[in-house]
Amino acid sequence: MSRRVALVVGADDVGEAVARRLVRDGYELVWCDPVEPGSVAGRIAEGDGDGGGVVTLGASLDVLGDPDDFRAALGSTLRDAGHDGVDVLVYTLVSVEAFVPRPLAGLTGAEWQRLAEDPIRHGLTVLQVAHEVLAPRRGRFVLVVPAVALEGAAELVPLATAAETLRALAKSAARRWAADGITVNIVTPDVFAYGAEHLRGTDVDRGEAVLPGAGTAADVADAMSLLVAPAAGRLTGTTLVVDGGALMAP
Amino acid sequence: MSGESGEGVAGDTGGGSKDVAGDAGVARVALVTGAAAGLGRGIALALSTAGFTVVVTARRLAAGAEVVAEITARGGSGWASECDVTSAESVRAAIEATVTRFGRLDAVVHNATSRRSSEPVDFERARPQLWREHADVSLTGSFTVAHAAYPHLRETRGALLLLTSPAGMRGSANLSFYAGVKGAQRGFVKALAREWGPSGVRVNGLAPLAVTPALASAFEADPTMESRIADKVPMRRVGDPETDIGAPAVFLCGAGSRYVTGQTLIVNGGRDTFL
Repeated sequence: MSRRVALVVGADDVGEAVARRLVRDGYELVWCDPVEPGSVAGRIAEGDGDGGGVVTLGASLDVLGDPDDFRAALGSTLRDAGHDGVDVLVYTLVSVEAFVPRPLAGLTGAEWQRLAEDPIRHGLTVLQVAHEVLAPRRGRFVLVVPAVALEGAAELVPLATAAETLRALAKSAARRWAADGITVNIVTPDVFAYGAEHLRGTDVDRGEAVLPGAGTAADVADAMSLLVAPAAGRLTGTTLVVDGGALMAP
Repeated sequence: MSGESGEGVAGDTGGGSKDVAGDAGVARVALVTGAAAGLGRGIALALSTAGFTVVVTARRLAAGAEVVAEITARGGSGWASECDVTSAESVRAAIEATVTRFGRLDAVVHNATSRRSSEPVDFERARPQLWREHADVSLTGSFTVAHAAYPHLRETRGALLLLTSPAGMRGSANLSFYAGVKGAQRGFVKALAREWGPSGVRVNGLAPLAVTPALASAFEADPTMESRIADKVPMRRVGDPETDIGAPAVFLCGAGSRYVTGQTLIVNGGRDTFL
């Protein structure tokens, strides 16, 4: 039986929690942290090494700016690791700067580009390349974006816009790839699962979660794990909202 | 790129306005992007019929002037202004010229969309430049239009309306980039509505199905296409830009929707009922 391989693209606490969970579930991990390459791969290998090795994909944000560049980097990394494909690809990359509240009226065009449009480009690149590495294994793609995609939030317009764009692109991919046995689903945690405690008391914090306690990155990882489980094979294009029951829609 | 942005052609401003905007005695002013044809033209005509003075913006001034001539012929008031929404300078110039000319801005409808919107996309192989072409108009354009309009909409407690699409909610296998930028506008509308709510500026979306010039061409090329689409619509037809889409746009621009913000109104004969 071939080894199960997971690729995680993400640089924050959520990405790390997802990566740890996949290693614990027995996946061999290919880790891509375009912001701080290699920063946590070692820690994951040391702490959760039972699932096998951790391979680092050294792709910078520049590489994520062009599908051909990312395709080349990913292909090379997978070949060197002896992997012929990927079973699970989880994209968790979010611009940390986009969690800083800023009124739209105060943004320059360059700031809009950096906070909203560059993150879309990075996610779109990974989506575009995902098909060819997931197809050999009829794999699963999971997009993790903050739930502001669904509800919006004052002074977080770039973040909400980027997240909802990626959600629409992911649904499009779900429609395209279903016939190839690839599923594409989405997890939307509240912003506090990203550790954005500075947003407590702001517009995004409506305090409407009905479950006690705060959401964590580990909760996101658990939701991701549900979506890549064999039993979730009929789910595609769906969004799992991990917000403690705040939204309850649709 | 457009040349002299803000350059305009006026129609008769003496037309008989009706007070749908709910503010008797005030001549309300609406600016519509991409208004030379299709949905933009239909919305511009409907806004004029409802009593707005309409600034018809288009990349080609002459095309906008034709719509203004229609408005004028119906007894309305309009002005054509050249505007390329992919240029922040052009957008700013058109909006400032509007306020200079009419003294106020009550509603902005960002309708313009990439001319490649209806082209199927080879999603996995598409180059970044193609995404850029879609994003420049709908995504960056939404930011640019909102950014330039805000000081004036705040003055009038006005409305920003973005033309989005059910594709942005459902995704699209073939029109995936179009779906992406239309999804972008949904996130943009919701977040900005929450941000601008305290200042009284409303931000909404409208997701229509209507016979645009692009769709009409597609119908000509594929004679069964219209009936195939209509068969999925409970009302069994594809909408008209002015009479079917224009009226809801007027509602979302006018005072009748004064307590509506952050919403997307799907206007497609019941084709999508999931929201």
